[in-house]
Formats: sequence, structure tokens, C-alpha cells
Amino acid sequence: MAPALTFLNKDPEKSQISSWLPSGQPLEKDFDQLLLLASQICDTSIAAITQVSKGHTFFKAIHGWDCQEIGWAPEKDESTNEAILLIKDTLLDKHFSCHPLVKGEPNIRFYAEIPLVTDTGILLGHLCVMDKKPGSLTDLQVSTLRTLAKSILCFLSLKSQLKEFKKNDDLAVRNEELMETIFHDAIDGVIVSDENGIILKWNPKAEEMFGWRAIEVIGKPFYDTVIPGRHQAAIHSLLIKYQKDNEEHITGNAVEIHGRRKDHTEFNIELSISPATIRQGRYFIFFVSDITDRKLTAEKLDKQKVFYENILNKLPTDVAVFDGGHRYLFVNPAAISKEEYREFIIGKDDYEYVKYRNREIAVADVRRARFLEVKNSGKEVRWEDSLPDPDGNIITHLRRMYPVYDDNGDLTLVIGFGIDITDRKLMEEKQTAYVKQVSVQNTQLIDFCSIVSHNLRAPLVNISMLVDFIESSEDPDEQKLLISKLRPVIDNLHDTFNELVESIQIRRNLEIKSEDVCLNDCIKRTVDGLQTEITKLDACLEMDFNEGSVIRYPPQYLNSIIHNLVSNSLKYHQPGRKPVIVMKTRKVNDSVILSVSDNGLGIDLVKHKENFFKIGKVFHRHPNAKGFGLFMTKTQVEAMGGKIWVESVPGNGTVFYIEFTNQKRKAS
Amino acid sequence: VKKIFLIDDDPVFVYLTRKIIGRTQYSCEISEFPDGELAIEYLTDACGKIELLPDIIFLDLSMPVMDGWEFLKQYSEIRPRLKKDICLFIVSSSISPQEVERSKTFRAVSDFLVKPLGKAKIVDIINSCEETG
Repeated sequence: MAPALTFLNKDPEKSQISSWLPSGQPLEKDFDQLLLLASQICDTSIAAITQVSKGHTFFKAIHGWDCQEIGWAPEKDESTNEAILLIKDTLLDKHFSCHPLVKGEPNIRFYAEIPLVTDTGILLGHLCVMDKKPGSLTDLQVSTLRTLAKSILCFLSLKSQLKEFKKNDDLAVRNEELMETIFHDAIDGVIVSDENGIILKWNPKAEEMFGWRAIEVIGKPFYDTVIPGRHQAAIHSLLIKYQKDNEEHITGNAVEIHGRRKDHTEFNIELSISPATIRQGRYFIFFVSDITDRKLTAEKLDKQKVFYENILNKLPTDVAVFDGGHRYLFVNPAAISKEEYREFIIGKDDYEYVKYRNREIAVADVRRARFLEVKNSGKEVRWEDSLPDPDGNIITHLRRMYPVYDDNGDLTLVIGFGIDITDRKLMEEKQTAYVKQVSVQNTQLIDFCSIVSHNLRAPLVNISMLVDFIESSEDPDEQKLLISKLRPVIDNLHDTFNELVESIQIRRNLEIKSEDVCLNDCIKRTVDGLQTEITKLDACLEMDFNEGSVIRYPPQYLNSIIHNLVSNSLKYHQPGRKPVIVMKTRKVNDSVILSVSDNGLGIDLVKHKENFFKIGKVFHRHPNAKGFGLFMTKTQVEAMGGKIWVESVPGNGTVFYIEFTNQKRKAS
Repeated sequence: VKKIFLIDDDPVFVYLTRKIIGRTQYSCEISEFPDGELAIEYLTDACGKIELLPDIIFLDLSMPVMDGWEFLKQYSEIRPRLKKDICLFIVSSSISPQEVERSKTFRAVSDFLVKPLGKAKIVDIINSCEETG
């Protein structure tokens, strides 16, 4: 039997059966009557149910004595498990004579035990009878004791089963309650049908949704009751498919269809169907959600989305939205017109985009720097940037970027706007040019007022005073003298008037023709005109026109300019110094700059800068200084879009510079 | 005897002014300077010599070499050293309000007179200088 026992000991069943008589538990009162019966049958004063474990004997139940545990166990071979152990006189048994209950109270002299072994061979303990006097057991007593042991086992088994049943029963009740609660309180409609779709259960939510009471629909086909006619066939065939399919293959996917109420109105539902097999029966569980609100909300959201997308997409302003890491979440068509690029950029940053578009990385650097500025400062940033468009035109944008925070103060978005201000920029440039032009014209007007005030009014005052004197004088000689003084005043007035008229003509003559004028021819003409002075002063003229010997200009203006400058140099020469006049041309971009330098008196520019080119201004005590030359020269230069300026050191000489513009074509 | 300086480059105007002054009852000693520079040089040299300094200066604005404005700038600098109170009048053919305003920035300027100057005006001026003198 030993191998069988060893095998059985390994069986998990054993531990379960062991729990029939759990060790370490208090004495079982349930066995009191059985043990009384055992002691009466065997005519012994004590009966007990014992368990042996680790050299100790535990009394699980006892009659006729009171003891729970002793530090002693009978020495037995396992093979004796099924046999009765009978000690007629313990004092004569070498082993039992050491038993604590033999040695001490109650001084046991007779001992017998029957093992309690289950049908499956598990030893649970022993049924013992003991007496204070030696004795024995008849065969009848032994067989009755065996029957009693079997009864004990049967009792233990029943007791254990009862406990198990009770446990299961509680669980079943609880589960059922739980299921019922879920079924009743579910926020979804829950409908259970049999495999043919005949409704078995219908929860209160379904009642509320469809308007059918449970008792009205139980026993009717599901699809007939809640699905509009046009969808019934589809649902029916779906159920048929589910009937055939293995349960595991069906995923609980939901469909959005129309449901039909008792009053035949329809509404949007989400229906999910779960086939289930319960105790070999096939069932369907239908979960129904009313999604009317969800549908409406979704439609509203869709409308809103279209509305905002329309605005964003049609906005002439560039709009870009970034996440906290400078990745694009959105760009509108104004920012990127090509849909392909627009789709590319979502989820990417500027570095990826410049690479994709083959643009300079500096563009991304600038944008990243601005983004970080916004992120770190938490404030709006504005800047202008200029980029070439696909046609190579420079487009200028005014850009604004600002951060958007959520309720917790965390950066959620950065929104960027760009407005094309190219036109505005051009307008600004034009405006600046206009302002400059107006300011030049204003200066000319002030000059003109000053000319009228000083140069025209002064001789008129003189004439008027002279006339007064002539009229009041009675002396003919005095009258003659006064009249003689009128002549130069009138001549001066005449000259001034002519100069003014000429200068106005120059300014207004926009149609004067430019020609290619050879500078050397022009100078020859001047030298011829001034030959007397040149010879008298032994003046030396040097020319270097390597960088431009032909000027495209109105010939009369150019002749006048050169004549004026050379005659000035001669007029204001340093007495006792041989005049040297040097003329040079220099090319700068599209312009030719002519310089005329002399070694003459020079002019104190600190004193005379303001008046330098004004009419009637003279800077030297020279009998022929009238102050017309430079005024006219400046007028002739500026009328053609050129510039004139001067450098001078008193005592050393003067250099005049004239810039002739738009000379690119012919200057060589 | 009143000493009067005419600082003006216009010989006709100087000639006529001399004639007008000659027709007044005052005996005047008139000096002419055709530009500001010659006048300022004279005054700088004569600033300590009361007998060489004028009582009245008539100053033109538009002159070669050194105009009236530059003269006023330098005159203001030497004025504290002048041993005589001098009445200085700007006499200009200009009727520009800006120039009148500008003349007011110089404390040395007594008034801004617009050409022509009549006899009555000159008598007024000599009288007023008599009183302050």
C-alpha cells in the first residue's frame, strides 16, 4: 500500500480532504455523541479522534477525559495504517508503557485504534478507545468500531460538502444580484435574445429608449421590434452569420444605425452585438446607446470646423500654429499656397521645411530664435522679414508671434501671423522719396523767397529812394548825379531778374535734350572765352579724363558749368601764385564725377556753408563778384538729377565736385 | 557830433543814407564798411578807445565775405569790452519774418528796420539814442 499512499499524498485532492479535519483546530463538539457510542460499544471509559503530526498526538475530539495534545506518538509502520492497533495491557507493551497517559493520569492500561482512511486512501486520523484497566475487543466490537469510523468519515465528508455548497451558493446569489444590478442600471440599453433573435430580456434603459415595456417585447424578434424595416434584413443576416461563426472570431464592433421606437419615430443608435454561449445555449446580447446628442454635437462640430476652416483658409493673412516644440500644427493657404507643402509641414519644424524646400538654413535660424524669444519671454514678438518669392521678387512680411497658455499656465500653442507688407513697404519708400522731393522743393521755395526779398527788393528800394531824391532835388547837377546812379541799379535788377528767369526755366525744362558732349571740346570753348585772363595770370590747366571723357548732358548746361567753375578759379586766384586748375573724371557706378580743383584763395566753409550756392552770395571782396555763377551751376546740375559739393581750405584752394548721373551707357 | 557806422555793401544805399542824414539838423560823422569783417576788425581794435567808437550802427544782413549774422555773432563776443553803449539797428531789404525773429536772439540788436529809411525814421533813431546816451 505504501506506493499507493505515496502517490495519493501527492494528489491535490489530499489537501482538500485534509481540511475535513483541520489540524490546530479546537476539539470538535460534533463528535461527542459518536465517541460516547464508541466507548459504550467497547466498554471503555475513554474514546477519542486523534491526529498524529511530527511526533505529537492531537486530540481532535475526546470523550471521558480532557486533553488536547501530548508529546508522544505511537511507533508504527505506515503499512499498518489500515489495521486495527490493539494494546491489551499498555504496561506490557514496551512502547506504550512510555505513553504520558499511561505513565500519568488517567493511567491508561488498554488502548485500541482504528485508522480513519477515506475511500481514496487518505489517512485523516484515528478513532481510539482507551480504558484504565487492561481489556480486549471482540470481533463484533472491532467491526462496529470500523463502521463507526466510516460514519465519522461520512460525516466529515458531508460536513465539508455542505460548507462548499454554502460557499458556492453565496457566490451564485451575489453574482446574480450583481448581474441584475448592471442589467437594470446600465446607461445603455441591454437586450438579450436567444440564438434566433427572440428577445429574452429587456432592461429599463431599453424601455426608456424604445418606449416598449419589457413584457411587451419579450418573445418577439429583436430586429422586428427596434430596427426600421430597411435595416432589418442586414441585422438578421448579421445574426445568422454570428450563429455560424465561432464566438471568438467576433469582435465587439459597434455599428451606427437607426433605431425605431414604439411610436415608429427613429433615432440614431450605436448597436453592438455580442454572441454568448451559456450552458450550451447560444444567446445574443445587444448593447444599444442613444447617440442622437452625440450625432448632433458631431454635426455641430463639423459645421464649426468648416466655418473656422473657411475663415482661416480664406484669410489673406498668413496663419501658422505651433506646438510648444516649434512644430507646425496648422498653416493656412495664405502662408503656404501649395497643398503638398502644407501637408508636408504639419508635425515638422522650420529646419525640416527649409531642407525640404531647399532654402537657406538662416531662415529657420531666425524663426527659431523668434520662437524661443516668445517662449521664454511669454510675450508677443514682432519683426519684419524679406524673402524672395518663386519669381524672385522680394516679399516683405510683418510677422507677429504670440504664446497661448492653458488654465494651468502651461504653454500650449504659439500662433504666428504674417501680413504681406511689400506694397506698404514700396509705398513707404515712395513716400520717403516724395518727402525728400517736397523738402527739396520747399528749400527751393525758401531760397526763392530769399532771392525776391534780398536780390530783387534791394535794387527796387534803391530805385525808389533815388527817384524820391530826384523829385525833391532842385539842383540840376544833383539830379544828373542821381540819375547816373540809377543805371547800375537797374542793370543789376535786370541781371538778377534774368538769372532767376533762367534758373526757373532750367528747373521747369524737363524736355531739354541730353547729348554726348566731349569734355575736351567743352573745355576748349571755355579756354577760348577766358583766354585773356588765362594769358594775363599765366594760368595752367591740367586735364585727366581717363575714366570718362564723354558726358551725356545738355551741351549748353555743361558749357555753362565748366565756364563758371574755371572762371571762378581764375577770378579767386591767390595773388602772387600762378593759378593751377586740375580737372579729373572718376567713374562711380552709373555716375561720372568731375572734379575741378584750384590753388586759389579758398573759401571758409564753416562760415559760408549755408549760403554757398545761393544767388547773389559772394565770398570775396572782388570787384566782379556778383554771386550768380554758383547758383546757376547748382541749378543746372540739380535739374538733371546730379549733385554738386565743395571742399576748400582758405589760402590753399578749392575743389568742386559734380556728379553726373545715369552715365552708364556712354561713359567710357 | 554823432558817430554813425554804415555796414553795407550797397554803394547806392550808403550814398542815399548819407544824403538823408545830411539833411537832418544833427551833425554826424559817418563811417562806411562794405562788409562785416572790415567792421568787426575796426571795432575789435577800437574797443577800448571811446573816441573811436560809434554811437549808432546801421547793419545790412546780406553782404559778401562776412554777412550781418556772422558780424552779430562776433560783435556779441566783443561787446562787453566796448567802452561805449552802441545802438545797433539791422537795416535790411528783407521782409522775411524769420529774419526778424532771428534778429531778436541777439541782445545787441535795438531794432530791425526795413529799407528804405526815411528822414523821419533816422531823426527818431538819433533822438532815441540821444536819450539813452
